[in-house]
Amino acid sequence: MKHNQIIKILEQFRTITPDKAYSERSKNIILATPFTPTIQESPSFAAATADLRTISFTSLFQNVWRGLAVATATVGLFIIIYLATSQLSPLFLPGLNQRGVVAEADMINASIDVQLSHIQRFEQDASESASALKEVAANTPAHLSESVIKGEQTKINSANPSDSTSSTTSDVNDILNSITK
Amino acid sequence: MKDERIDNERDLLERAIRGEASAFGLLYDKYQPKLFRFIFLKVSQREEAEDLTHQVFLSAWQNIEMFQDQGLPMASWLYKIARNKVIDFYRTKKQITNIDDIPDEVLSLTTKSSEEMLSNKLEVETVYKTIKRLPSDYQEIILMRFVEGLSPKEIAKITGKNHGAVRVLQFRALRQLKKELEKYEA
Amino acid sequence: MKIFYKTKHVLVVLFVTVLILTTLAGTKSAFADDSINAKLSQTKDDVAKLLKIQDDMTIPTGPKQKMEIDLRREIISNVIDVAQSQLSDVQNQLSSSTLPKNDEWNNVRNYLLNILNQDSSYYDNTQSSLQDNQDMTAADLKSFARALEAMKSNNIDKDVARANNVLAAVNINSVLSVADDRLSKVGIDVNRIYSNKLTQNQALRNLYNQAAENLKNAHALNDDSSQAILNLYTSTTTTSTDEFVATLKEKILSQKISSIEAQYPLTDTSTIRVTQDDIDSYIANTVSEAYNNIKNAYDTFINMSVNVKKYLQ
Repeated sequence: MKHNQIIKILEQFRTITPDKAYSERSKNIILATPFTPTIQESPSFAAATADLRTISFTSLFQNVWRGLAVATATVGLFIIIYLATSQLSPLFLPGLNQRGVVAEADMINASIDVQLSHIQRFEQDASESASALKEVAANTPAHLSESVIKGEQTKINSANPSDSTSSTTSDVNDILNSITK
Repeated sequence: MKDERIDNERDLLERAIRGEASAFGLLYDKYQPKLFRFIFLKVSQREEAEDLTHQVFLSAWQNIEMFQDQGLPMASWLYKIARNKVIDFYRTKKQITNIDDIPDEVLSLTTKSSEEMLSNKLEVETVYKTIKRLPSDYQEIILMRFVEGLSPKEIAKITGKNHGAVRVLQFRALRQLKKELEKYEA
Repeated sequence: MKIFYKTKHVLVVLFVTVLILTTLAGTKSAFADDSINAKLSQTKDDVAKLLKIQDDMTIPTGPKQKMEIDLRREIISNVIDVAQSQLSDVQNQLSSSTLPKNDEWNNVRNYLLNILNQDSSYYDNTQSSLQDNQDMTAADLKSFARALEAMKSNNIDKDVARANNVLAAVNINSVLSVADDRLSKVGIDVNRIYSNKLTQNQALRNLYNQAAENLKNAHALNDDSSQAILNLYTSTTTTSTDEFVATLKEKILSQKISSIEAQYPLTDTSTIRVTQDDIDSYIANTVSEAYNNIKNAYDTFINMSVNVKKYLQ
């Protein structure tokens, strides 16, 4: 089927239409639906959040102080650990931490390789495409195609019986020699 | 004339966004047949297509004030909703329709004279069956581009693909369709 | 207090985010690459088939001609498909890449996207033409392939390569940030070692200086390539652009002459010209060198981290 034929047939599909009665019914139902705002609070949602909206100031104050106390204790603990490790160990060298540096180097190298290999791959693909187009455009004589001839040569070389026979003969001679020693 | 029509649509949209049902009704009249056809060709069953089309416009009416935020023309927005509805439909559908079942609406599609009617009928059936065998993204691009007449730009907006990718997809889809049709002819 | 809050930790988080996004984009690209590879592989098979059919004397003339025509058509179509995919890929990357947010880089992006859009239209029209003209003879298809190959190799592939180089030049910035941060941390450790007199051996200091030099070079090369891109890959030119371009061309010419003279003596350098290819190569090489300098710096950092205890003995 030709391209234009296919397009014409596809255009025929445009004549598919909905049932008029159904369309009217559907429209009336839709337009009768109230125009509601997009965010709608359900009654259960409203009830659930109602309690949370009433927070006493005292409890809030107590909660905040409790939180601050925990935070301060945590911070203090970290300060102690930091000072202890930095002062006690002359070899605390976070910048030269081998595992960290190697991991970072791996990430950096991977990122760089992605960039550079993308460029190289495009060049390679472009070259392959160009070769294919050149073959299509070529006026090479039908029976002098280099790749076809090379292919035949490979087949001939691998099918050469004298090669395999001579290697087998050599193996047998080696075995015989080893027995007679 | 074109500018007037765009202005009219813009005016209708603004009124619909403000909650004017009659304005939305006019937009419904304009777009509903196209959306129905698009959905029908995807799901191949009239009742399902009617139901899904209803859901599309119901959803559009209920979320009309979100329309402007999308930055899409109205048709693209509606097609986008329709696509999603069809995807959801296939996800929840338990029975798979036999793709060789050709709906009556397709069987009755012919504008030819009685002599050419039979061969045209066969052609239409063949094209329809072949499209249904294609991967879903190929089906979709063919429907949007050649049945619905949407431009690559509009399709790109609807599908979220890049403009260039839409064109590549279009060529591949058509080529695959032709290949499959050749098998039928053989 | 460094352990709790360090603004430079944000850079590492940023880098990881960029790497994840790049990987995701790369994954999407990788899927695209797989299909490109499959198509290219198919194309090579088709070429081999075409040559075999031409060589085969057992096939009758009529069917043979048809098979050859069909294969030629298929090969051309696949090549256009692959090329269009690659073009689409780079257009997507350009559109979504994190170029610096200023007018100059926007000009570069728009300049490249305009060119790539035109190239994409060319491929569209060529594919259309191929699909619409089903009656082309073998000779027609050969001419078609020849024209396509010339356009692709001489123009479009170069446009894509240009865009790829720009992306590489821009993407280096996030990598450089992380590398700079590492240099800074390593510098703190090195200073601590020497200020606490943990060693008299200067090897560590020398290595640090070497890494610092690498990163300094990477920055210089990055600036170089960025300036070249901003002045060359844009449709908006000013007097300073013209001056910059003239100076750059002088530099490239001098490098070109040196490179030729390294192979054989030149008696007359007046015939040597700077071509667009030379300029594109200059930018590509500069970007590549910048990346290599960063890699070298990291080799040095690893060397230092592995051997630091030895150096402190």
